[in-house]
Amino acid sequence: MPRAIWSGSISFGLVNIPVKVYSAVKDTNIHFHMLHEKDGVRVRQQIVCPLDDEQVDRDQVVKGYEISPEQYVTVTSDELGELAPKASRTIDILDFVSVSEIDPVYYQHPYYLVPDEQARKAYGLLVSAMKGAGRVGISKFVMRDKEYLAALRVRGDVIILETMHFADEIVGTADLEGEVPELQEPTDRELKIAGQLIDMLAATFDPEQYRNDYNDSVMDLIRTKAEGKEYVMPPPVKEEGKVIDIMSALEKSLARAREAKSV
Amino acid sequence: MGTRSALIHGHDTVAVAMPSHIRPMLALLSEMPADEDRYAFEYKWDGIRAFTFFDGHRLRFETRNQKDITRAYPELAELAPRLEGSSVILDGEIVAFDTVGHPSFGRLQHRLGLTEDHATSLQSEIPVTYMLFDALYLEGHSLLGLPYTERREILEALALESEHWKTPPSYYREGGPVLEAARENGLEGVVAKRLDSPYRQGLRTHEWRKIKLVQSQEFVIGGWTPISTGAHAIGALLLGYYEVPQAGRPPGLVFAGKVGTGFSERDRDALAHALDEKRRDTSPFTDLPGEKGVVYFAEPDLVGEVEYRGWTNAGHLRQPSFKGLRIDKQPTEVVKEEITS
Repeated sequence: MPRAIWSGSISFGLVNIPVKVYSAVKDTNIHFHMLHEKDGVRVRQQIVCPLDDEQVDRDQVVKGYEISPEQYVTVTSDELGELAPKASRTIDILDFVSVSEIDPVYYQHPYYLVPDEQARKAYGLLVSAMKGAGRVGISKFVMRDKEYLAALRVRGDVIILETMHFADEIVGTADLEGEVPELQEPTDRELKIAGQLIDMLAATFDPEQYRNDYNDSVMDLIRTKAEGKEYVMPPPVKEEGKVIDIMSALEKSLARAREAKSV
Repeated sequence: MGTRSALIHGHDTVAVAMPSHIRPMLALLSEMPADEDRYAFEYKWDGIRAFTFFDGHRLRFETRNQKDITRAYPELAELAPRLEGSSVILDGEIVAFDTVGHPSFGRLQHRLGLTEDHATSLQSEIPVTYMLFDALYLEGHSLLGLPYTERREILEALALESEHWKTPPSYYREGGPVLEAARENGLEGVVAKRLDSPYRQGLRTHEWRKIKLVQSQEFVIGGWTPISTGAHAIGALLLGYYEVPQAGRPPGLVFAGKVGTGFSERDRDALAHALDEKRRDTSPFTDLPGEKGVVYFAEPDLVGEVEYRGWTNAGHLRQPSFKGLRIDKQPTEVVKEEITS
């Protein structure tokens, strides 16, 4: 059962539609724990200061922005807090543009917007209107202290919020100077053959037919090893010795304390 | 009659149906009693209070507020075959130890409130030991009315000692040396128990006195300030306790200070997320002094254990250090603990 990651409301003009936000994609990557090869025990990470060779606690760490090599300006969370955009939980639609105008390079992450009970009618109306107009709502919102640009578009009967990159995040092809070769004019024959190749592989888009083969082979490997009992179970880290130690340590201390008292 | 009924012979017990819950007998924060020879002294273990209920078939562990924690401690399941054939209720404390061998409430925290899946993997990383200190019911008879000395006799006769549970000794009449031994080994303190006292359910009485080496108590968490690195993590927690109820109005939450140390990196993240869910706009405290910078308030639902070195004149904690969250205490029970003689 997926959980809403956020809640807000779509807002434009005088319209306000409360919604819950759910991620439209899930992570199917295979995740591994890091084990010490020798004994299969899960390893831990530490933050260490190389100057005094000490393990550092999180509350002793500050943020530093490198203004020039080895020169930092430190910034506190209080200072950042004062600059953070005020949280208002509204997804403000600024413009409705035609979907074909947005180059897919801008798209980041898709989310489903699910209306609250009382807003179902208004939501349905917005869906129909956007379908009819063939337009997409460009909006801005603030989630967890970060500001986002997003496109609201209709998919079936649901509004998808697609977060977008800001313009200054897109690398221009001019920046690839020297990397992008000059296009040479092909001959008519070359063009005809290339066209035929494309026609040969022409198909309708069916995403189901493409599988993550690499993930599939990794899971097969894991299953085979598990069935062949080729797995590692780390030995219980026997700290039992420590408990016996405390009880006998207490006995020894008590003996000493009794001695001292009787003196 | 169960296999251990011989143990209750000669004791003035009452035959009753086995109770399904026990309200814990509680200790009063105190100085060492002047009349030491009326007391027995036990080490005070900084863990989680837990009762064992075994009816001959099913084993169950419960906290002082009757929360079932059986699944969180699979290594204690072996108590069942060990107690086979008997009906018994025991009182004790589940403790975790740090790498140096000192009891560590902080380490135990990672085992608290776990489901069984997590419990089995943490079993080896953070093993626990159940320190038993009282026997309250045995073979169809309640032991609650028996004096402490007799309950101890029965408990020790059960001879419960293994890798995962122990019956630490009780020392009659020698408070001084036991407190010294506790101090030397980094324990929280000792508990002095009146030799003649019955088990008084749900009462905090002078018959059990806790003598602490370091001051510590629970506080309600009413808010927090974020960490200075800008990450979504706790910098300091705002703490409070409930004042003594005044006539005609509900007790207010008094601000007791901020605690900013004692957290691991994992704690700071986990607490930030837990407190996010409890966010509120208004302060739950009656008297919070103005804070520079960002402050977030939370519904006063969470309780944390904090060690400190006294109180300042302004009524705030001196040198507080966070020890961990307590799931076994209700926020409304949190008051300022003061030593009674």
